Amino acid sequence: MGSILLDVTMSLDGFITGPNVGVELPLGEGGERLHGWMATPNQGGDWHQTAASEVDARVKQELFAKTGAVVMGRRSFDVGIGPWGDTPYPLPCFVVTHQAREDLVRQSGTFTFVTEGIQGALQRARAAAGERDVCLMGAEIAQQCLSAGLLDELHIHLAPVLIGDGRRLFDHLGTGPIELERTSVIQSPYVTHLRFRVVKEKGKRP
Amino acid sequence: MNAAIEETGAVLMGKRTFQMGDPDEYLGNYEFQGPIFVLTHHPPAVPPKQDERLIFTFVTDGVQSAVAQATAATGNQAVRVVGGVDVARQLLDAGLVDELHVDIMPVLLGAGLRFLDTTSLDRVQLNKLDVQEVGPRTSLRFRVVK
Repeated sequence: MGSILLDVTMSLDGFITGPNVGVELPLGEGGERLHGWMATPNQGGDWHQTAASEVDARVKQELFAKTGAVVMGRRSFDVGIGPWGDTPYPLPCFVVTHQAREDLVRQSGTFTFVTEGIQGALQRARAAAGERDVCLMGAEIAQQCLSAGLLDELHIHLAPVLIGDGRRLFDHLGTGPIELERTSVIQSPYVTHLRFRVVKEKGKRP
Repeated sequence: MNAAIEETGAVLMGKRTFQMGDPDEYLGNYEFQGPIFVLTHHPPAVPPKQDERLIFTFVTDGVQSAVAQATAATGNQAVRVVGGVDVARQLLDAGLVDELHVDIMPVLLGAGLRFLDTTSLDRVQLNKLDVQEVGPRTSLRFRVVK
């Protein structure tokens, strides 16, 4: 079975979007500064395939290669579907939502809407991913998984910017300290790609 | 740590950081035995133990003045700001910081005092200078673009 992993770009002050996220501003005000390593503005088309440097491209390729399914929150879906124009990865995507909805088939993958909460979504994503990993999208889903001890790996692309306001990655954890183990540091000209493993207490492994 | 001490000509800190331990314990024990500048509204009536190298200066007229005094004391070496977050924020806000050194420890605390918890710093541009793995710590250095 693969890992449950979170792969996200974060500012040095802990934000993954700027303020006022919405359909018009999927990354919030100033949030695009975070993603300079992945895409350049106005590139259009395959923005998720583009990278700022060889190192960044390799990091992105490694993620694509090991990921088998995606789990995201309803909010990420709502603000992302426009800019993506497709599934964010060419993979089955599971959206945690309270409202049942028909599958949404897109060019390179299908969005499936899961009303059985995060656990239900993870179960279905794991089944779809097989031996590969399940990648999470969105702060709320990430926080829920971390709090529930469900996250295995944390990939943070640390951008050298201060955002000041917006959506924090590590908000509302509501738990005591969560120990991590750094597994790799990869430097690109712009960001620092940090990978951590979540250290789990024996017997608490889900 | 030794390299950090060698490049330091003076230390600047806020009142709460200063009072985290017994102020008389700085002399002979603190890793930096040189001029220490403390930003505070209420300097102690009697200064803590000091000698000809470790000299305390209590600055009551703001960060600009503290930086000016500390810089004058260092010669060509760096003024190292060791905390706390409030002093760091004020300095960044005033455009007085040249380099930002952040050490990341592999733990999520979930609650506590946040680093740079302010909306006023979104104009600050950083360039990554260096990243090092030191045991479990990831040590990052950035230059503030002016």
